[in-house]
Amino acid sequence: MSGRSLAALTPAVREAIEWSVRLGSGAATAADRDAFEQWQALDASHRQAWQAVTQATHTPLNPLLEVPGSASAATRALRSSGLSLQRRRLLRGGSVLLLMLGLPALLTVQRRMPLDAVFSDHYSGTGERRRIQLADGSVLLLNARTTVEVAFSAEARVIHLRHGELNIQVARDPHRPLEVVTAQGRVRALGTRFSVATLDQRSAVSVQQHSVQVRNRAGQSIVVDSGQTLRFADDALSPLGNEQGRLDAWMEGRLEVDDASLGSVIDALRPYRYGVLRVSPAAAQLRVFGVFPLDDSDRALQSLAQVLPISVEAFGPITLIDLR
Amino acid sequence: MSNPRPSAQHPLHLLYAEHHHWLRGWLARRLNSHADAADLTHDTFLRTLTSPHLGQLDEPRAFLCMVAKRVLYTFWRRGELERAYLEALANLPEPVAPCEETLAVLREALEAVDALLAGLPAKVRHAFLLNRLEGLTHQQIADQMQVSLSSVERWVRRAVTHCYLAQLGAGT
Repeated sequence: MSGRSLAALTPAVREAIEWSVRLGSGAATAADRDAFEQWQALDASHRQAWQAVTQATHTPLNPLLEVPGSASAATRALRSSGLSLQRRRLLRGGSVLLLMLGLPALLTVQRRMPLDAVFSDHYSGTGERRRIQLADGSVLLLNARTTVEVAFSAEARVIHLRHGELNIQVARDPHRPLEVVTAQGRVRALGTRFSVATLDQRSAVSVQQHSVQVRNRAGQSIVVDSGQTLRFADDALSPLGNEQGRLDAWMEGRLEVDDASLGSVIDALRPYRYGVLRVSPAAAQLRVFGVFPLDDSDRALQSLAQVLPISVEAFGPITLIDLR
Repeated sequence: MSNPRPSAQHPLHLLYAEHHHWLRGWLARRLNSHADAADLTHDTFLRTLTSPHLGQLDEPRAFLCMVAKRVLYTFWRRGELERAYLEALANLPEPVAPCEETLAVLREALEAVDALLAGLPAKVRHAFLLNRLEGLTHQQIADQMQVSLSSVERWVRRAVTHCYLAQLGAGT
């Protein structure tokens, strides 16, 4: 423990820790409990310290207490730290093992930030929308957790959308067509403003002004006009009619849905949230209507919990959504 | 507003270009799985991102090795933790087999508690888990671990203090 952390142990916190030990010992008497009530009533700092200590010990353990039998199994699994001898040998060398003990288990979350973000021209982080002026005067808007690469040459302007969602206001240049390329196909600008999103195994494009031409990997081609939306896969093109307002609401920080599944709504909130959002399969099927704020995903979740029969519970970085 | 592109001169780009094949091989020899090796290579480079020394490495491979060992440790620890847990569940008087969804949550909770208790001696860990997870009294723990009541009390106090300080550190 460093000196700085010891300084955090104020008298109120030290007392709260003593109470936590005493009341959890199994030997606390009625007199102890009375004394504890009095201690709490005495000062707001006592209540605050008690809450902080209780949360620190309860919150991480809670999920393990909810499944029958899980607590004793978890005790068995967790009682020893460190690795099997054989693997420790493979890691042998220096004091590395000591350093490793304090590692946070955040890797799962970090993996969501693709490594290609580092080598991309432009990227946006979690909960962040970016506006970028390109060399040709076009204006690119990136939704959260989006990565793009810009390859402009004397003959062509190509933007690779690796991940996420973008909107572009294309500057006019009759000699250099502009294309947005996704894993499933290419979107060529015939007009001036449109959005492209990557979805799971598919891409979507919606056009705000004029039109674009989409060609997927199978070579199928279609023109999408202003106000229209198209979803495309490697070998399929599926026009969705006019959903433009809803697909583009992210640019104003809103999520608009009209009869979408809760699962897809949660998917749209994920890029705006650190930590893990989990929705049970049953809850994911609920239908949702409404407008939700992207920049305040806590509030979005609260609003969802008000109109749907769901419970939203947070366990540290994990938020669980289930049927109530 | 745009992020500057890590150019060919960017230290990470160089590090990646020159060493990522080697690192993947290094990891693959320890993992016996090319897919895992590719994943962990990726994780290793992600971790080096935050290093302030990136531009001035005398021994880039020694540095990558050190980071890769940490990544490997976390990966293995996670696997062993989960296996021990599932075995313990299956060996209960009434075996429990949680559904995949529940299991995912339990797995993350396990890792979170494991990270929270990291650095505590084994006895302190064990006493705390028996007390707060299994709900045993201090006396029961003392009997089971064959130690004095005052040792149990001291260990639980130490663990609670540790959790409080860890949470404080995580919040800032």
